[in-house]
Amino acid sequence: MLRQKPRISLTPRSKGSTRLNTRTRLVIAVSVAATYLLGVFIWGWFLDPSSYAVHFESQFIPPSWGHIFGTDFMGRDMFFRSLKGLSNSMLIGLLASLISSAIALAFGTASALFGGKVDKLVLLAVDCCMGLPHLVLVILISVALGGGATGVMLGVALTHWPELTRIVRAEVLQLREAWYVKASYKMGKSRLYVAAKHIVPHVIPVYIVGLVLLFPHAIMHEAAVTFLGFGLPAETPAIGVILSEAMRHIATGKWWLALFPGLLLIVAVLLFDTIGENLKRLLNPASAHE
Amino acid sequence: MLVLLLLVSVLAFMLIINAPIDPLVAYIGPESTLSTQAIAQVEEHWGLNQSPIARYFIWMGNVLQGDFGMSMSFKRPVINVIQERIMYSFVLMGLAWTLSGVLGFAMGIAAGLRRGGLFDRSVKTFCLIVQSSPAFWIGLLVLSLFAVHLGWFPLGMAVPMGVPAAEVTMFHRIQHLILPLMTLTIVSMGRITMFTRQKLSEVMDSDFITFARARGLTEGQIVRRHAWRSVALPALTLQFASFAELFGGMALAETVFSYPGIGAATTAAALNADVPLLLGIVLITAVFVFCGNLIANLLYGVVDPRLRDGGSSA
Amino acid sequence: MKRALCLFLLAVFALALLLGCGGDSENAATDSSANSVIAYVGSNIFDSSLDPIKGSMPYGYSFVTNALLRVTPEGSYVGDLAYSWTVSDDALTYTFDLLPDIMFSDGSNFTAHDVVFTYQTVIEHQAENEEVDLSRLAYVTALSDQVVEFVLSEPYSPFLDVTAMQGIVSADAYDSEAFDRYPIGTGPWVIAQYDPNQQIIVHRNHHYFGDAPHLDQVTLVAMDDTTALAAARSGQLDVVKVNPAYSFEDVAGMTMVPLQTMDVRLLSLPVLPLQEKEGMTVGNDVTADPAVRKALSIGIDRQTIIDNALNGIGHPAAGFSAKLPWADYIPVDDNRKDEAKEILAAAGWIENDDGIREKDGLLCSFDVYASEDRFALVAALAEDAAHLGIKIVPHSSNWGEIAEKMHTASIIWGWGQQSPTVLYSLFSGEAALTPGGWDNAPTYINPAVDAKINAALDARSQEEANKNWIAAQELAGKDFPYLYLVNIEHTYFVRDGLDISPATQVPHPHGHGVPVISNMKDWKRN
Repeated sequence: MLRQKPRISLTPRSKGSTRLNTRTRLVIAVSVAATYLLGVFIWGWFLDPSSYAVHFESQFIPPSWGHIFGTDFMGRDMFFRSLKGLSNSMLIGLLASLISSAIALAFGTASALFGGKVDKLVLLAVDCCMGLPHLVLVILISVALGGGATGVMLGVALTHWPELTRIVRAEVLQLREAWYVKASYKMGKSRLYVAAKHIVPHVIPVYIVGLVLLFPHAIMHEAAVTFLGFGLPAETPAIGVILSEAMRHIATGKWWLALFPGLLLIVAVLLFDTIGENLKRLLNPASAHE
Repeated sequence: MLVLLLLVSVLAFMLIINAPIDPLVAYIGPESTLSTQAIAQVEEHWGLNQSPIARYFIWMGNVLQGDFGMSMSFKRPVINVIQERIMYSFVLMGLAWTLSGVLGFAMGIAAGLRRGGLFDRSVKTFCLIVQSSPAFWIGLLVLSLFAVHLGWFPLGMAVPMGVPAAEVTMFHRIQHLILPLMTLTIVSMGRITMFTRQKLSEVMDSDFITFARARGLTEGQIVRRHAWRSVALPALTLQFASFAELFGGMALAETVFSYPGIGAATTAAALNADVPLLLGIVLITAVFVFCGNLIANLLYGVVDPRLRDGGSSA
Repeated sequence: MKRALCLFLLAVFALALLLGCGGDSENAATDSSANSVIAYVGSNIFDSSLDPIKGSMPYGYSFVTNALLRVTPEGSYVGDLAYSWTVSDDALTYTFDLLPDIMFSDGSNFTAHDVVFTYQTVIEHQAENEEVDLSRLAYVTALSDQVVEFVLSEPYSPFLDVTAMQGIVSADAYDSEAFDRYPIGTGPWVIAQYDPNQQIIVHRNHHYFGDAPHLDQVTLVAMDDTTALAAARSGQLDVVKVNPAYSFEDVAGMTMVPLQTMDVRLLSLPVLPLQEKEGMTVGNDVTADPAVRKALSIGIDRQTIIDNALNGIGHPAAGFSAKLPWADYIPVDDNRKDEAKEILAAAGWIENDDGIREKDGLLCSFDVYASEDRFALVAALAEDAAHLGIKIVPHSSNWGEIAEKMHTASIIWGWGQQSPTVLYSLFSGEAALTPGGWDNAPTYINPAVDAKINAALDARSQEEANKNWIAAQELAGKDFPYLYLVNIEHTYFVRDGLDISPATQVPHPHGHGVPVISNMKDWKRN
């Protein structure tokens, strides 16, 4: 019986052939993906509202050269509307990620580094927010804020930090026990120095994966609460709004209303994933010398 | 645990009280022609004219005696409204939880074993698509395909339309459960699959696996004898910690399939500013999620003894 | 490689979508030989109690209970449980002679005591009934088993409407909790099974005193509105209420039936300039100009708006439906764009470079807040009003936000009921400036109108009341505090071979489609 050749190597695993090649490839992939996403974001941001304005005389036009994504029941151009929608959703996702990640990084690191009362307090807050189903909490927050964009944004932002906090905290806790961190302390380095030099670089990859996962999540929550009737108002183009509107016309064969915005969303999520994966490898100290 | 529940209830109460929806207005409806005296009576009856703190204590006091108050929209005791729905939701969630866990784990292992292979890429793409498609969207897709186009399953509800309760069989119930279950399973599978896949490849890179390889074991043998154990526990932990997420998917699936569970009641309660019902649901779901988190926390300790004091591992 | 795979999967996804929408299922699950019907008429009947004492079916389309009077499809009152009634000259005493030999669905006899019980219980529990207002009813007594007398504290002409809306329940059987789901009344149907949030199964009431229903069983199901068309296509239902947007879809084996309503959609236009008044912020500087309000009313093209937003379903309206005896019916004569533009120009509103009018630096633009289902209507209005140089900014909103904005922005309302008390809510200066509630959003205060409204409320006869109601609408109409748009229609897909008897349908009051059940006893399979 043929057995697989044992794979033992003394160097950390490396998939690229030369050091420059792998890193360059990763950097290029990240740049391309980031450029696309940034492009969509900025184009959407500065888009003239008249490009997706209501024109009832051109209702339900299937995709054509004039309207490459077709038009909807109010005759709005779906290409521009989806573009603006994706841009708006990215804004919500990014804001939610930023707020969540800022809270998570601060809380997680503080909790793990200082321990004691700080840790207990952070854990209590985490448990409190994790103790409710996300959707219920998002609904509660967005109802409390009177719905609309602010409600959804804060609702999504304030429901995602606990998980990230736990991840960061756990990672830091593990690192704190690592021999090189202990050694660093023994060598008389300050907490801040250890945090900056040894802990944060190790946490970053996990943190970024968390962030990347958070992004589609944030958009999903926006879409979900909108579908249930608490979310963004219908005049605000956002992917959630567009998709829940499309649901009403899917049974009448207006497939383009759901398909293209859906594709845009999926492509964006895939690209975010690509960025996350590649960044992880770029930033991971273990693969830094590949 | 109790302290946390209390905190959650205060948090929920504060949020609802701060909402601009006036429960009185929500109660008498946007197009009511009721006189001012009659409105005052409505206010009086529901204690709407008292201070928020007073209302919280009145409510909490009653809850401690087992009285969750009356649902303003259903005009029935909150506890009854929840009772008649909770079993549907538990069965749906329990099954979806198990199914998504088992399927997701299996897919994750299979994909993680041959990273970069065709199957791995398909699984990854599938997971990303599922994770970036809203649950209601998947639900509607499932509904139009299986209930409308193929006509294999009923459109929705938990029992057949127009059939007396006495004639409803187990078969009927299962038949009605399948589509919402399928939706919820697909929705919750992505996370666990991705996690297992990631974790497995991490484990496969670790020293003891390298040692096993050195002993000449095949990849399959390694997974069967060693690796899966290291992946299963964290995966199970994650699955327990996902109760909070599962509930959201369920609310959407229930809405799409008119499944009479607790998720549908939540949205109705929030839309109607039915404060007593909403608070009741918040408490019940909090207990449920707490249990999941508690189990997850305990499991974390088993996974990594260093974290016995209540940490977590991703 | 990865991209190619993605594309492949997306194509599969797309195909699934197409399959999902394209096909019509052939399997008609409902067996037409069984004399039963499955209907989706809107899910809101599942949201509240079925007990008329708690305000169920408030606008009089109950199927389980009867009221003392009922409304005919032509809009007049005839006896239902009562065969005749008299009103004293001072309009304080209403006496009803009840039909003999009527039985409740549980087989017990119906008498005047049941009427007294029902009304007294409503008064005692007014807090649980937000729909019927009995605050002017002093007392109600049974003069005999067959005669019941109501005595009012002050004249209140809409009381007759109350007696036509308030369903009567059995006093002996009454159980506040059980009646939420299984009310016992004298109506043609009895609730056989109530599955919360799923279905209500009703059977023919064998004790019904009128003509027995043709059908044995009707099942009213709950579902999400977005799935309604899919439900129709699945062939599993016989009646499906759909959004007008779907009304021209083909559904195998079903026909589209539009039904008349008395439900109008109208915009409130704040008549005061922005100001603090009695502690409330009210008014809007743009809509405060009567020229703007009048120009909108005569200048917009309601038919085009209906064609665009409602698929052409519904009738242009400049006032309440002519079917209502108290309505000041005004034939629609709109789309007078030139005349409207002249009015605006004469008032000093001059078009700027963007085609929007301005006056002293104030842009002729205002916000309209709409609940989600009415957003398209406002968007269509905005598109048409732009031709006049008026910029309307539509917002889809929730009732919480609307409550905040209702006195300073324009709101789109839906009103439709048999009782003229709606006019008090819309126009009475007394109802303005009351915090909470939804009355008089434009803050329209006109003592002459108030006088007419009070005269109508205090009127001693329906004729006198209606005369005053019409006068109040005429007076208020000159100031255009509301912009009427459309008298909507409800649209249903009905299975071929099932007759829902459009001739005996009353014009539907406000109720999002549920009122179709008002004549369920006349439905039959051919």
